[in-house]
Amino acid sequence: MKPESWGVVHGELEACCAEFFSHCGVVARCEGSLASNEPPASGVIAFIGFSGAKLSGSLALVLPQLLLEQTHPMRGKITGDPLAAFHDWAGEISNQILGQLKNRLLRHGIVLQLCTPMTMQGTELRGRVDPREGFARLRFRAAESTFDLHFDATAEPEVELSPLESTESNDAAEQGECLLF
Amino acid sequence: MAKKILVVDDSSTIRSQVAFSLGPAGYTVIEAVDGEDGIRKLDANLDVAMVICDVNMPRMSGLEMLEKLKGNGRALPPVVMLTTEGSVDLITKAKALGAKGWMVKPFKPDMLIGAVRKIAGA
Repeated sequence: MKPESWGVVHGELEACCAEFFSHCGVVARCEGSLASNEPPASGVIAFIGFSGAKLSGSLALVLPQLLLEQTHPMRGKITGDPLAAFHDWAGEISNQILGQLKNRLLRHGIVLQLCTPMTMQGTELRGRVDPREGFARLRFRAAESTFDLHFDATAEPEVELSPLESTESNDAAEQGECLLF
Repeated sequence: MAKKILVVDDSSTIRSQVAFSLGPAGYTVIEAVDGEDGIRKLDANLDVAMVICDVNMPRMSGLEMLEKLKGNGRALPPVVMLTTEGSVDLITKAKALGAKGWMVKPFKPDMLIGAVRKIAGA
């Protein structure tokens, strides 16, 4: 895949993140790529893999607990172990962001299958730096927190993507859409 | 008597969110964590008025659950899929397996209540 095409994939991913958090009532802005000397992060890490004939890889999010608390759909009403609830929510965030990316990439003729997410918690977290073009490490500011997104993918060499016009139709149901048959 | 809605999703957040949305609207919500559990809960609760079901789940997906239930030839309550998936192919497959609707996450509680009222009744 050419660098411009990777730019399209990463741009779509950035848009999916912003859209997801906007639905949670939080403005998430990408502050750019993480520098290699960036201070380490702490929080819940959600991993989710994806595969497909043209593109495969994985997404990891490092989400601080404060942001998970602020965006949790049951905030203030969580019953049971709050930490378990935040882990589940972190996994669901990764699933919904990648699901949205999957739906956007369908417009480019790329079909992905998603795995189910897993989560862990850690401190002093540092992601590796990789010069490959499919690799992206982005930092977002959301409410009073920052969170990191790590995306690692490989594509078939012939795959090319172009930015889509906003008026182009999506051959997939949209986020929040309800179809009754 | 409150109508019983079964929500099948591997995320406890989504199950709670569905229960919290539908409870105050007058429905009783029971939960299942995957397709296998969904079948067990349907077997144990013959009065379920509607099923809200995720697609991608460990052990048994939502579409596999529909396939299995259809294969059993039993009368099923209406099923609406609630998922991040938006692919037309999957929607067509779900429809062919008897699903009555498809909602793409994230959902707004009002949209969910509206769909449940329309399908399961008030």
